[in-house]
Amino acid sequence: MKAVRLDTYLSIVLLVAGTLVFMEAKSFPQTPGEFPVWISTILIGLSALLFIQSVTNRHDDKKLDINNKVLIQIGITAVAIGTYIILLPYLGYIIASFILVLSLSILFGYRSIKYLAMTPLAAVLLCWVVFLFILNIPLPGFAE
Amino acid sequence: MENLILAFSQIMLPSVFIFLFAGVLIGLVVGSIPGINDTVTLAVLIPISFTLEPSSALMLLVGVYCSACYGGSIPAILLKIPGTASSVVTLLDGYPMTKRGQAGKALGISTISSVFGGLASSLVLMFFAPALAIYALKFGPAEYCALAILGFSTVAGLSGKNIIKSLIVCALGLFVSTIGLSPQTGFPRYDFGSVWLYEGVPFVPMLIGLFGVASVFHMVEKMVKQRIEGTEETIVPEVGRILPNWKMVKRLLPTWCTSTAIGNVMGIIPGAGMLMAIYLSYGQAVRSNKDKKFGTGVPEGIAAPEAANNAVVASSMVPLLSLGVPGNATSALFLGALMIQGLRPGPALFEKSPDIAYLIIVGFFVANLIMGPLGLLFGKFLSRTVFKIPQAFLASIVILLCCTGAYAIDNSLFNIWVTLAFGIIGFGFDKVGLPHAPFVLAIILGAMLERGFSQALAISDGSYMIFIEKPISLGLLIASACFVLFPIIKFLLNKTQKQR
Repeated sequence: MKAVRLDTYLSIVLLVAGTLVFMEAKSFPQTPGEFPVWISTILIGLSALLFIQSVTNRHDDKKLDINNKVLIQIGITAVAIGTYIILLPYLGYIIASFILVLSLSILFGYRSIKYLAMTPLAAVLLCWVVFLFILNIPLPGFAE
Repeated sequence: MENLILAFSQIMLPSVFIFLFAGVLIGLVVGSIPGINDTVTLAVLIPISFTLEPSSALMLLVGVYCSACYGGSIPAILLKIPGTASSVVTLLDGYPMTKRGQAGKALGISTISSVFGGLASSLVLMFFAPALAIYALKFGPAEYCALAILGFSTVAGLSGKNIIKSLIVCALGLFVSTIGLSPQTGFPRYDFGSVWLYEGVPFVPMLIGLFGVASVFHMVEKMVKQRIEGTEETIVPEVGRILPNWKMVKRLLPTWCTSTAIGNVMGIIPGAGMLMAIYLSYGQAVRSNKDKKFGTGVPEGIAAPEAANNAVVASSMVPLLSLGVPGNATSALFLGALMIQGLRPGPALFEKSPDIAYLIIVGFFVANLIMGPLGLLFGKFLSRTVFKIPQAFLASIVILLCCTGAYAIDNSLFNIWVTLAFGIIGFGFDKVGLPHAPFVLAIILGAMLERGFSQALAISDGSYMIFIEKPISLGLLIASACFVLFPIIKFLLNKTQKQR
C-alpha cells in the first residue's frame, strides 16, 4: 500500500495544471481566451482552497489505496487496449478483437480452456454481426 | 378528438402496429449497446424507412426513439456503463442497487419511471403542443446562459462529501468543454495541433471511457484483491423482484411528477437537451429527499432521471410538429424522415396531413405502453444472463463493447483513444475522491454557457443588464440563486440554533 497525503498532492497537481491552462489561455486572442482564463483562475483558486483544507484539516485527508498488483494489471489492460487500437486497421476487427478478448480473459484469470477456445470468438462474431449487418455500421476489415 | 380516435384505430392495424413494436424492440437492443444511441439508429433506419408506407415508417422511428432512451439504463444499472448518454445519471444509484443484489428492483423502477415520463409527455404533446412551442421559441442567448447557470446550481446535489472537490471537477469539466474551436471566432484552443480535437473531445466516447472502461478497471481491482485474499467470488448476485410494489410506487410518485414536469419543459425548449433535464431532475430529487444518501442506491435516484429523459423524448417533438423546429439532433432526423415522405412539419402538418400528425402523437403514447412489459422482460433476461457470465470474461467483453461502440460513432480510431484516456481518468477520479457527475454536467453546460454569455453580451453591447431585463432569464437566475443559497442559509440557521 502506498501512503500518500491524497488531497495535498492532488491540490498541488491541480495547481500546476491550472497554471499551465492559464498560461496557454493568456496566449489566445482576447475573445476566445476570455472563458479559459476565467476557468483556469477558478481552478487555481479552488486548488489553493483544497490545499489549505488538506493542510489545516489533516484528519480528513485520506490515503491513496492502490495495490501494486492492481496497478500493474490495469497498466497491462491499458497497454492491451492501446495495442488493439494500433493493430485494428492492419488485422481487421475480427482478428484484432479476438486477440484482445482472449488475452484480456487470460490476464483477468479466466482459465477454462474449453470456453477460451469458443467464447471469445463467438462474442466477437456476435458483435461484428450486430454492428455490420443489423446496425449497418462498417467495422475495420482485414488490412484495410 | 376525432383525429385522435382515427390515429388510435390506424395504429391498431397489424401492418402499422408491427412496425411500432419492431421499433420499440430495436430501440431496447441498440439502447443497451454502449455508443449506439437513438440518433445513430434513426440515421441508419431513415434510408430503410423510405421504402415503407409513411405510417409504418414513422411508427418504426417513433418506437426506436421512445425505447432507446430507456434501453440505455439497462447496462447503466447492471454494469455501470451508460448505454446512452441519457442514462449517465441513472448509474449513480442504479449500479449500487445491483451491487446490493437489487438489480431487478432497479430495472423495474427504471422501466416504470420511463413509462410514466413517456406517457405523461405524450399527453402534453397531444393536448398542448402548439401553445407550448410558441413559448419555447422565446429562448434567446441570455435565457440559455441563465439555463446553464441553473444547471450548475444542481452541483450541490451531485457533490459528494467535499464541495471543493465537486467545484474543482466542475472547473475541469468546463476546461474540457473549451477544447476545440472557439464558438465565437473559430480559434483553435488546447487542440495540441490535432484536427481530431477541432470539434472538441468526442462526448459519447468520453462517457464510455469515464464510466465503462473505468468500471472494468474496478472489476480488475476487485478480481486481483479477491485472488490475493483467496476469496474469489462464485456466488451469482440476486436479480430479485422486478416490478416495484405499490408502496414503492406511492413513494416514487412525487419524484416522477416533478421529473416529468422538468423533462417536459426541457424537451420543449429547442437545444436545452435531455442531459440538462436528467441533471436538473436528479438535483431536484436530492433536494426533496435530504434524509436519503444519494449515490448509494436510492430508488429516487433512478426514478428522477429515467422519468425525465423519457419525458424529453415526446416533448422534444412539440416544437418540431408545431413549428417545424427540431428540439434536438434526434428530432432533426425525424424532420428528415418526414420530408423524405413528402411531409412538411409545422402548423401546416396539422392542416394538410392531420392523419400523420396525430398518428405520430398517438404513436408515442402507444410505444410507451408497449415499452413497459417489453422492457421488463428484456431487462430481466439481460440481468439474468449478465450475472451468469464469469467476471473475468465479462470484463474483457465489456472492454470490447466499449471499444466497438466508441469506434462506431463516426468510424474513428481516435474515439477509442479518447475512451481509453477517459477510462484511466475516470478510475483516477474514483481513487482520489473526485465525483464524475459534476464533470460531465460541466462539459455539457460549458459550451451552452460560453455561447449564451458571449452572444447575449454581443446583443446588448456588453451590458450585463440583458440577463436581468429578460423575464425568463431573470426567473432562471433567481431559481439558481435559491437552489444555491437556501441550503447555505438552512445550514447556518441550524448551526446557530445548535450553538444556542
